[in-house]
Amino acid sequence: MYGSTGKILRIDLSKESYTTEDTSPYFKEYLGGRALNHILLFRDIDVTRVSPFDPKNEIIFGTGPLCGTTWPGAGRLQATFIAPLPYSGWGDSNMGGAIGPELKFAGWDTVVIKGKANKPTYIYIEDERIEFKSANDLWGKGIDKCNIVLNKRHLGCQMLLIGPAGENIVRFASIRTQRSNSLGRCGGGAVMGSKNLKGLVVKGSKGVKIFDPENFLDLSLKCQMDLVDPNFGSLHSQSNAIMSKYGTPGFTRLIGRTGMTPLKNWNQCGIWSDDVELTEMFGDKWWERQDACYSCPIHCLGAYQTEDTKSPSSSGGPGYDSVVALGRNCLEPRAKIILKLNAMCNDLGIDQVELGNSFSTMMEWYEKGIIDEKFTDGVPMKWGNGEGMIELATKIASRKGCGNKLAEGPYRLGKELGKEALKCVYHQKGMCSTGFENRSAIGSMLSSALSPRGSHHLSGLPTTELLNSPSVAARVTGFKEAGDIRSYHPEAKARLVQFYENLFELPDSMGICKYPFGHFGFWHDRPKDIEKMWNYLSKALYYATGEKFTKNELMEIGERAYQIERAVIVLRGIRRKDDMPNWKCLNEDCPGEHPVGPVPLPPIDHKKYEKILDRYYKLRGWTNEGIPTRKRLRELNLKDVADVLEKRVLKSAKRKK
Amino acid sequence: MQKLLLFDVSKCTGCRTCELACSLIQTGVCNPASSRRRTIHFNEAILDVSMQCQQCDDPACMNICPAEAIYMDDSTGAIIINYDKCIGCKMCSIACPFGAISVDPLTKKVVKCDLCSGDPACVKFCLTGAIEYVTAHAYDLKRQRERITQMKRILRGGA
Repeated sequence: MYGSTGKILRIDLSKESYTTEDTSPYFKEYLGGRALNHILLFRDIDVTRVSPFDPKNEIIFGTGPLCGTTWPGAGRLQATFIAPLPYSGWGDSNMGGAIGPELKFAGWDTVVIKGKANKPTYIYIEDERIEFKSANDLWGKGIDKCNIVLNKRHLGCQMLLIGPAGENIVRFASIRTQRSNSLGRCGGGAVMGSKNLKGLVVKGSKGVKIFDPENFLDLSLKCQMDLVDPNFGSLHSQSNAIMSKYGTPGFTRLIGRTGMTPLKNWNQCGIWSDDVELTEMFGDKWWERQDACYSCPIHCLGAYQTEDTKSPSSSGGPGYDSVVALGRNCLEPRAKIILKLNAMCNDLGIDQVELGNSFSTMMEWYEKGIIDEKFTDGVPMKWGNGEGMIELATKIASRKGCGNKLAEGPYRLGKELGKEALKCVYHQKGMCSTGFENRSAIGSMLSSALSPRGSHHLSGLPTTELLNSPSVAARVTGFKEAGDIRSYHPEAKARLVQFYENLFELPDSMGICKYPFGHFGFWHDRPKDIEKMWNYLSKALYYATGEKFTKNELMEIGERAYQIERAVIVLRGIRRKDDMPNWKCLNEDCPGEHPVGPVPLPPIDHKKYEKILDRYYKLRGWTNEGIPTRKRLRELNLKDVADVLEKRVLKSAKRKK
Repeated sequence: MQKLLLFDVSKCTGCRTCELACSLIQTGVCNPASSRRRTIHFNEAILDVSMQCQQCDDPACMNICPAEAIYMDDSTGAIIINYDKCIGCKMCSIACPFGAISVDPLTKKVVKCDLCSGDPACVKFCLTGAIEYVTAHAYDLKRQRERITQMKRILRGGA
């Protein structure tokens, strides 16, 4: 095969054995990466019953046909598993870096890991050589130390590692590479920890074959140059410049001015007067340089060196979401504290967004008198108590003292503490939100509430809505209203969100980054560029793989992947009630100072929201309860998914009646 | 005037696109292991250094080659392997003080940078400008200008 390497590696940790499988039968319908991971997980395990820490659970690392090529941002790796953090159980995490390409250079498109090792183990992959190596000497050590040891042992390798948090099954433990990237969300680190799997070390020498090298090289060079061209002329090229200089934290103040950035545990939004250190100048004093993911000209990862972060992997700086979760939401204005917390999370292997949300939620509980000092072993959870946060982060990673209960995540804590406490948790499906205030934009609210893995902006953030661009919105959905941030137009918003959800599956399935991917059309305000983008994409796929894809075929792949996600969470008990916005979004105003949009932001209108949901379910071909119908699934060639759904969900529903 | 392939460590972000472009244009496969240029990451120092053949004036590889398979191209100044003569002994790889001659894992032959016949692909793909292909004269001028601007800033009481 061209583009893809054509091989799936299946590892059984219990038996310390492996088998291989061909990728080619899946290629036309799933491309690779995220979509392929979905169908593999669905077919391999009983997704209805397998619990996250069951040895039967699988963790799948998938790349895509463009991963490891010269295409801009072609360095993404997708992890899929049954997750411990969101109660929907859908685990889905994506990152850049160099490990995805290295897997492909070693000759593997996808690595499926199941079973449980009987002792701490790491897997060493060098082309066809697969070895199960003892990780006794690494177990219990931080990622930084393991990094140095393994880099010496296997020169020139790339790796995925978990830290003490993953080993101790903290529900929001992350998986790290040796540089700036993490598979942060959903708790993949805990799944690896439960399998006694410390990490993957990969080295490859086989490379990625390209169907038409000459044309592919020319096209990818053109796209790379467009990305850094200041005269490209769109809003996106302006934001590229910010990304290249400051990374995503550079957007904190910019987005703050639109009222989309939260403050004080999602109780406020907009401009914050104390944010001098957390804005464009974030970490200026300690900034070392910008790091890049594989084959990306944007280099949006800041590397910092403070007195606390001299070690290698912890120098990888925080992103926008981390700065918002740990800084603005906790009212902690000191960049030094954020950098220290960030370095600790990188070393211990903790998801910074969930950690930040844990702290900010506890601060609100503390203010409301729901908890006191005793709850956190004597640490007063006052707003902006950065020193306290640092103390608790270590405890959470080791599950010592109060850390044992805090490691369950804010949603489960809130549920235990009672109704009032749960109202303070800003979550969807049990996972807390990344740094976007959903009350500010109706389409974003819908995409975040529907997201199978829980609240986040990467399942289908309708960027045309956020840019208030009616012309692009009309081109995408046929309705100008879709571009209006405050509009509740059911047809327009439902179509908009469905479109972006399907679209967002594509870069993840090709192994490329969403950010450069959107540069040629969807991230900005120029409708004429949309066709250009489809043109580029289908050409790139053709030159790399030799297979032709039309726009409709690509969008169908996106739809197929999304329907599988939905089927899994429906099998695990998710229904219409779980697609409702959280309590804060439905019931509370969001005051704050910002020049764009209404002040305060009103809560989501429940009735109008239900109407959009009705329309959205119809468009997707789901029942009134949000269950995918047989008809729609058959159209997408997902007969086996339809069979399981019928057996487990529709029949039992009939029996109850 | 012959041009030099130069690398500025302060501009490199470690994206390694140069390796990919090099291997793709030379072999048709995206494979850093058969790239003529390697980017080494120094984790502790937060530093990436990209290395390729320096096209030496008195090349150790050429001097040691028992088959006289290595010669200098007159127009670009590149040191080039003649595979018709090469016996595959890998002495050049051992002799090179920069480790710039490696063995391609796919073809099993020794490979080195040939400056893409005067139009290096790595330079085109290095969008931060860390890799440059310029004449020595132009490079000197640029460096001199940079230094003078720096001095000017200091003289104006910056420092």
